[in-house]
Amino acid sequence: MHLKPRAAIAKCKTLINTGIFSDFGLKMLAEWRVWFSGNFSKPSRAGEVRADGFGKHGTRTQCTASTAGAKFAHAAGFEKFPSVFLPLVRGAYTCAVASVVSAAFVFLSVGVVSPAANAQVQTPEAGLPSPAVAKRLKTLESELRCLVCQNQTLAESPAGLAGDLRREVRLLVEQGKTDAEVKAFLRARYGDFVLYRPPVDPKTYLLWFGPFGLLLIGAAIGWMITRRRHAAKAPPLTAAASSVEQASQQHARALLVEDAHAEDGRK
Amino acid sequence: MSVDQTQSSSVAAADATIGGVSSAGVSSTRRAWQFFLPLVIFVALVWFLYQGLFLNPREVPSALINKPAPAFSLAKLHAPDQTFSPAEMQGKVWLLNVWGSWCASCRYEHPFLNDLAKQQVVPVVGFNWKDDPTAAKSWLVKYGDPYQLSVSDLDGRVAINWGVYGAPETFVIDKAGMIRYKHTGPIDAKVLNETLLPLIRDLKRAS
Repeated sequence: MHLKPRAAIAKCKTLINTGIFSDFGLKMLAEWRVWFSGNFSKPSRAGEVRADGFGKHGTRTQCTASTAGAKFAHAAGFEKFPSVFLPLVRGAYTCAVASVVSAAFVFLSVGVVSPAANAQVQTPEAGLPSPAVAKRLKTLESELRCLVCQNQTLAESPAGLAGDLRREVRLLVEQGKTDAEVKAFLRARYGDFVLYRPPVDPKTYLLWFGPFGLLLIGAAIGWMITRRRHAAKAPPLTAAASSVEQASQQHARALLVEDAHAEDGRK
Repeated sequence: MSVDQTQSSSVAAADATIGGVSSAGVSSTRRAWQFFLPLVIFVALVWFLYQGLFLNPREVPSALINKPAPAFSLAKLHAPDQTFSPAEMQGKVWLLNVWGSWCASCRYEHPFLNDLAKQQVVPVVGFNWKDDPTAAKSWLVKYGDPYQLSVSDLDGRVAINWGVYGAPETFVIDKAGMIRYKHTGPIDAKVLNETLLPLIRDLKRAS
């Protein structure tokens, strides 16, 4: 199965130009989307319908590692789709783009400059930072949360806002601000939520020390159970024991023994 | 909580024994505890989990509530040679509504904003976030313009100062220029009538 590079390029180009990625295709899809959303989709509860990376749809579109598919979906207005269809549609787009890109890589020794290949490149930020700055940015960005894709750090997130925040962080770092100052800047605007490592203060004591508290409670319960088992294993009282001894032993056991098992022991 | 209750129950049981209550009575109290305590814990857990169903984890509380509205000077959408700054609204209760022509939920909330504008209870300033001014203007022509004026934040830097993380978002600013409330997500009749309008009325009454 041998294909000449020139022919392959031509084939890719035809695919891209005539296929769903053409302007016409996108426009058609956008029209269909408007018709569809106008007829069927109703915004439900507040916060769920934000198409910019907030609601279900936007989040799925923006917060994905498969930027190529997401970009096409975004271009076609797919983030406004009912959520049921979005993963399917986006999946289809991603597959299509992936196959075009991989076909290009398989058949050609030189990179094909096509819209599909370009779509995978993240928006470049003007100029490269110096190595020292880059190193600090890397650490900082991995400790800050993207507000849109809330399970991703600023470094990972492809959302538009994350790009803006990365740019802001870089500006601050290049102005000579310390890491603490950069974090304080974002915290003043977005609250503790923006920090992946929340500060230790009365509000977060439960968060930081709660697990140890639970561990202590668990240990205490374990200790009580062990003690009970131990008490239950004690030999039953003999008739020879004096009534005084018997009374004090009974009292002691009443304090220690609690389950039905223990009651058997007392009989 | 559960441990406390277990301990207190055992203490009560021990006291009862010393007090001479029959062992049958003790064990029935204990049995009742053994039966009801897990039930109580279970019910409490279910209640918390049930409540959790209605929380929106995407909603990040604003860090700017009761703080002065961040100053800015941005070009007006309809008159790019003029600028607007929040200081101009000093002495008025006003709303800042973050929107974009690219934002579907903004279109959803727009009729409610148009209604609000008709009532003329509060000036609404539009904050056109990371949008193409031409698209923004034609969007307003198409769906109506409820804004006293709109400003364009082309690169989104001012939005960061306001803690904006999406559109639509709506800030309520009082006469002293303090942010009193932020609504994340689209406004609808319920939000407007139950939250925003009462708050605006209160803030207007306050000197």
